[in-house]
Amino acid sequence: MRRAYFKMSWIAAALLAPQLLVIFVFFYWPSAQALYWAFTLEQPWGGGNTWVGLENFRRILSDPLYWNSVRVSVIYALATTVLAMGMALTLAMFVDRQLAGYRAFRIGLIWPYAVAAPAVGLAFQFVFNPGAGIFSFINTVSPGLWNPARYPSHAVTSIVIAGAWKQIAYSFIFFLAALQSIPRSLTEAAAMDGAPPLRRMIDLQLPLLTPTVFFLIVINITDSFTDSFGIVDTLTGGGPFRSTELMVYKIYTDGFRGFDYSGAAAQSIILMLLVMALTFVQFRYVERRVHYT
Amino acid sequence: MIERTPILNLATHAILIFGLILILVPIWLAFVGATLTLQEVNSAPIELWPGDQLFNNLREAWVLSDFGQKFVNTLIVSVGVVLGKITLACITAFALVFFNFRGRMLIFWMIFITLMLPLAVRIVPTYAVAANALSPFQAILDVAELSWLIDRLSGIEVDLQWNLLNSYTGLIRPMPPRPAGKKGRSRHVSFADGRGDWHGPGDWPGLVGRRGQAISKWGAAPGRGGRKSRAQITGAALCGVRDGCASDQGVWGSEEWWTTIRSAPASSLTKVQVLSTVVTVPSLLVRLTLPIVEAEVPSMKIAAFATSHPVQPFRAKPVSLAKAGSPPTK
Repeated sequence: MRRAYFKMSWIAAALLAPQLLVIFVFFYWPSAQALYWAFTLEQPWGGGNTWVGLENFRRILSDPLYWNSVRVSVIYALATTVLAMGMALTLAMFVDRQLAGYRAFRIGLIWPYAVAAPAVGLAFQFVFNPGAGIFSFINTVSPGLWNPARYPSHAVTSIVIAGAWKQIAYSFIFFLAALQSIPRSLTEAAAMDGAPPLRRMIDLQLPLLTPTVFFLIVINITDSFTDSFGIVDTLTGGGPFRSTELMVYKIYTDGFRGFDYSGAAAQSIILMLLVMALTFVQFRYVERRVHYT
Repeated sequence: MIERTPILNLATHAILIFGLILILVPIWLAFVGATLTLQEVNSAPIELWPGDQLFNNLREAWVLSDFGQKFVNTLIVSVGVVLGKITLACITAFALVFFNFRGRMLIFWMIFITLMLPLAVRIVPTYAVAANALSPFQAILDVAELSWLIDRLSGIEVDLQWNLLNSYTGLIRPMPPRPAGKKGRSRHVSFADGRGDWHGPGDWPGLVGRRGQAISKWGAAPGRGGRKSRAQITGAALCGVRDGCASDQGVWGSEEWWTTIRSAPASSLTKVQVLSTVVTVPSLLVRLTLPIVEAEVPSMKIAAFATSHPVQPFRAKPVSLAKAGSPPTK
């Protein structure tokens, strides 16, 4: 499948120039400065810095609290991605059957996309509040059985559910769009061959969805590593006992609360490298199993 | 399709209704919370049905947080971000898909990598850049000793300045750098609501107001705009990032300022109530209009456009261009 290509490279350069200029000024330059800070010791109120080489990285990597945040981030990213994509895929497949009223479901299911991350955290306060929330019914069985303000595992469960809830809508839109772009004739042929709907979902639609699944895995994992701040800040604030202190949140608290710019810069460099490595691994090994058309 | 599957149809409806309930419960609870009085919302068994205080709460929230101006700010910023993002993403994706040149993949990855580092971790250097958007070029000229050269040759001292602070442009410019993607993989094609940055749309206007007021109080630093001290930059970032800065907080860093910051009320359930109302209700209204908009520009189709599936109209383009007579090659 060859595509027609243009060869006028000066036009290509002209078309690419604005985007490259913008990412240079607003992404690469600030990132390079953050990188520079990672190798220096910044004075919190201005007034110069000292070159310390890899000292910041050494300090962070020998800090058990940092490894704790890495561990929590990995758990959070995997759990939210699996939960959100599993639910989105199931719902999209059933909505795509186009039974009566499926339009209503389609609109209802993309509503969470309209809610900002801090508002998600606030809305889930009503769900997880151990005294008055929906989950407090657990406490009627035995008092104190559910308390995210006290038990780390409960707090992690809370942010995972809230994070997954926020990502469902995005994955759902993409799954549904991909399902709708599967040629009708394929499904019809399978139906005439006697494949019942569930069989068609597993053997026909799912394999044709692999490019979308792959794309959404990359985006969801990246998102849950880098875009979890709003939920953590409003729902748990990193507690209890730092059990929900994700990497992004630790960067924020160390940098803006602790005024440790150098440490925060070093952490953000590590976070970026981690996400880049993950994406690279996914493109290198997972994409091999993906068939485009 | 062709077969009758009454049991599966029933199961489909059951699964969809269950999923819809799961999805809508938090939104519903936030809405119910917005219709209750403070006593009711704090009472122990959670109220599941709305009360009668919705409009009182809305009015109070609107007045308390000056939401009229903030919605205007949000509108301007988000329209600017959407237009900038889509325009840039379109032309970049077009160049990457339909032109064959050296370094195509390199440029694709250069753009894709911008996804990996959230704005939160580079907010302070980004602020410094916003103070003088041309500072990177100035620095390059300085390092390369070109500014000295120009100075000697023409007698012009190079001092590049472009201050974006306190302007809508400053808020909009850092947003568009989003991967356009070689296969049209733009994340923000169908909707744009500030997602992807950890501040939701509801927070941006506050940023304008607070940052604006805070910065105007500091007074402009003499000399180059780009050379503000780190402390000032930090303060601005803090004011933008946290809700801590009141509007009339006094001179940044002074005793008075610290007193204001320390006495800022902690987040309470009332604030939860107000905020969730003001953020969810309008967004729900927007979503309710979706079916109408969808009839015109099917958002599902736009999303399909962005997935990596074969997209016919996009690929058909160069052929029709060639037929129309414009030579595809030199």
